[in-house]
Amino acid sequence: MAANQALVSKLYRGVIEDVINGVREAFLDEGIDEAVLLELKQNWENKLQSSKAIDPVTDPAETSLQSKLQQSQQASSTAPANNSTPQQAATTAKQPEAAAAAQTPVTTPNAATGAATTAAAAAPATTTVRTVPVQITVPPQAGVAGHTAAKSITVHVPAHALQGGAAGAQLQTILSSPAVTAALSLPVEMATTVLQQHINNALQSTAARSQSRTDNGGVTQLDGPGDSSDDDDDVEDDDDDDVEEEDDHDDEEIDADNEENADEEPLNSEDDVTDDDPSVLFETDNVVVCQYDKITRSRNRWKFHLKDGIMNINGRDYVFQKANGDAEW
Amino acid sequence: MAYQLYRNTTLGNTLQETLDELIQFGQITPQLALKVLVHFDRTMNNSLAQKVKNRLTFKAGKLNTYRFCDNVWTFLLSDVEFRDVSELCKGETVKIVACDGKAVPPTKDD
Repeated sequence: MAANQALVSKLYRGVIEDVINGVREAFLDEGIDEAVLLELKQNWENKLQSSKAIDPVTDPAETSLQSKLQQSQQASSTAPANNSTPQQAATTAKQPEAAAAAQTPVTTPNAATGAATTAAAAAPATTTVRTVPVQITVPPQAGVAGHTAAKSITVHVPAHALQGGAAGAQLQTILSSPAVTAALSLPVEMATTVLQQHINNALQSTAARSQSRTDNGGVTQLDGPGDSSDDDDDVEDDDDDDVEEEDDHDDEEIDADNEENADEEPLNSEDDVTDDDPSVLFETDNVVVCQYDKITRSRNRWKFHLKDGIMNINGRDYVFQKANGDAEW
Repeated sequence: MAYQLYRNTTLGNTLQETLDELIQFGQITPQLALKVLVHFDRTMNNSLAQKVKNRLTFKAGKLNTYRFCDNVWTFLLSDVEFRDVSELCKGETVKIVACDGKAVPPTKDD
């Protein structure tokens, strides 16, 4: 398409000249200075060249202008980069300091299940999400295989869960549930991920629940965002097992359906094949703007007869007098 | 008057951006900008009809969607190859917007 490129450049120059000459009269009618018209032309050409859709102009005056533009662009792009890196260094420095800072011990009530003391760190001020690393130390439990020494698991808990009485109590309830204690007996990495997920889900559902509660003017809404059926069912099932055995099968089936649906949602959404072109050059939407002579279809085979078109493919411009194409739907 | 179709091209968009900047600085009026665009439409249509002589063919892997509304065809194709005699270029997804080549474009009252 190199020959096409030269053609495109020439065509564009021709169009620019035509337009500028054509509107000169209109500009003068409005009483607008010729200088503005020239500025229009200059800016138009500059934008065209910086868009890289066509080859740059060989005019010496314009190339010197172009190189100056490039230098100023490079200077301005390095400046923001310099500003952002010091900020990042500052935020990373603050977080380890916060972790080492004073700790507020939180006591847990259940010695029977063997859950441990949690050590909370002060929240870093800069991050907006405000997760706090919480260390859970599990003391050695007799009778649990492979668990002879105390191990510490670090999970990230949103800061608001550690503050305030109700939220803090909530955290303890989450941590003392049977599923969690089962997880504590797993190896450290698995325990960390399981606990983290559990905490995230539980906190999200309660946050949503409390939010929906306040929106309803006193009437509690337990479904919709406040629904806790999916992940908390693991916990509730354990309770149900003790109470009614018959309902277990129903609950398991419903849970299986819920879990399948939860799995199917992500599975089905993977059926959508969306092409994400990571390369910056391909950021453009490849568009063809043209006129059609004839569009035909036979079963699912389409034939296109197009004319007078401009294409922008992968960032570059092409033109055609006629184009014929085939596609299958 | 001519199709405003070609305003969404590199040339058309850069022109519109430039005009918008000039309007912002108060150097031209919006009516004048509109006149420039109308002139651009006319010039573009004429140039494409007379100055461009090349033909090309293309083949698409798949036609994802087609739409025909107000006599305008819009196609979304994927995995397309454009061939101009000896040269080739490829696109992963291509959108084609095509106005009727035979109709008289609607006249605009400015």
